Amino acid sequence: MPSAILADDEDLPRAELRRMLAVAWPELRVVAECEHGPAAVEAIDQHAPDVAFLDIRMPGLSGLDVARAASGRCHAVFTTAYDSHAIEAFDAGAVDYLLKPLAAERLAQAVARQRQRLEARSPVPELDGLVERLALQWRQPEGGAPQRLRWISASVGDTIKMFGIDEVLFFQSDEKYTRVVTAEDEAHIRKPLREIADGLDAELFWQLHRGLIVRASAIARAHRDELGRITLHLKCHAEKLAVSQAYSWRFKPM
Amino acid sequence: MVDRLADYLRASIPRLRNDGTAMATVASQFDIVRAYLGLMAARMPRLRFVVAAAPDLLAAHCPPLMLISLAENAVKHGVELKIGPASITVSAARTADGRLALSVADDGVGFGTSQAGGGIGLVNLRERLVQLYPTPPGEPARAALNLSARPEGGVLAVITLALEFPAAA
Repeated sequence: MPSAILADDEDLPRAELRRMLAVAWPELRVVAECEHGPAAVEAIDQHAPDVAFLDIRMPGLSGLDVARAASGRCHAVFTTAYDSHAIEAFDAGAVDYLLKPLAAERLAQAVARQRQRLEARSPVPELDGLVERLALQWRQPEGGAPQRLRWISASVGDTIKMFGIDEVLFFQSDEKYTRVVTAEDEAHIRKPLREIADGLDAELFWQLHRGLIVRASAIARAHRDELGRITLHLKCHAEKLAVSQAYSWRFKPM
Repeated sequence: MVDRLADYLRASIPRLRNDGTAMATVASQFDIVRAYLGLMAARMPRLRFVVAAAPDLLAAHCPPLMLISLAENAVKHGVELKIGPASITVSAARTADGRLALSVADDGVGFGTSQAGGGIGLVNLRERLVQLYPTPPGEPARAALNLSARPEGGVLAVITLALEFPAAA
C-alpha cells in the first residue's frame, strides 16, 4: 500500500488535504502529519514514505529544503498558497505542485501522476539539482542578483538598533565606520561604505560622492551654485549633502 | 473561523468608510488588531496574543490602519516562520514625556531569517506619520516609528505620537 506524509504548519489546510486525499487516493496510507520542516525530514527518515506532500512556507525548513534533504528517497508534491514566481519555476521544472485552497480536479491529476510513477516503479527523481535551482529562484526572483541588504543592525550602547533598508535616507563614510541616517535616527556601523554598496539596489540608492550613497526617492531637490557645485536637500531630513563632480550627471535637467 | 473573519470585517469596515486621513481612536484600532489576531490564531493555534491598553488611553487619537500593519508584519515575518508556540503583545502606554506609545511585540524569528517582502509597508507607515504629524523644521519629530530586536528574540515595533484626545462634542 502506498504511503505518504503530509507537512503543513497550518492545521486547516492539512486537514483539508487529508480529507481530499481520502477521496482521491483511498488506498494511500498517511503515515505522518508534520507541522514544520524539521519534523517532515524526521518523518521521511523514519517512515520512508512513497510520497511527501510538502507546504512550501513552513517554519524551520521550507518545503523545498525538506525535498532537498529527502532527495532520491521519496516523490514530492509541493503545496503553496501564493507566489507567482514559484509557480512559474514549478511549471518550468515540471514539478508537481498544488495551489491552496486545493481544487479536487488538480489534486486528482497530481494523484494520477504519482500513482503512475509508483506502479511503474519509476525511480524517484533526484530532486537535488532541480530544488536547488527553485530555491535560488525563490530567494532571488530577478535571478542572479546578489543578496540584497534587508536590515541594518547597529549597536548603540548595549542595545541593537534595527533599521529596515527602506527607512535609510543615506549612508555616509566616516573613517572606518559608515553613518546610517534615517528620518528620525542615525547610527554608525562598523562596515566600510564600499561593502554596503554591494548589498544595495543601485536603482534606488545612488552613489553621489566617494563617501556618500543616497536614497534617490529621499532627494527633494539639488541646488547648483555659481561654481557648479551641487548640494542636495532631502525631503525628511535637514542635513545638506554635497555631490561630487563625478556624479553630477545625475542632476542634468531632463 | 468564519466568526473570526466576521469580527475582523465588522471592526475594519466602518473605519474604511471615513476618508483615509480621519483620525481613529486607540479603542477602535485595538478592536481591529484584536479581531485580526483572533483570525490568525484560528489559523495557527500556536499563536497567543494580548491586546490591551490602559482605559484612560482608549479614547486617544490613533492614526487608522497603522497598528494592523505592524501586527501583520509580526505574523508574517515573526510568527509564521517560528516553530512552536509564539506570542504577540499589543499595548498602549503613556511615555515619561507624556506622549502615546503604541507597541507591537512578538517573540518570533526576528530580523535575521526573515525574507522581507517588498519592504513597502514600513516606508508607507513612516510617510503617513510624517503627513499626519507635520513637524516644523528644526524641531524634534512629533511622531516616530522605531523597530528593535528584543533581547529574548523577536521584534518590538513602537509608534510614538503626541497624546491627543478628540474634542468633546
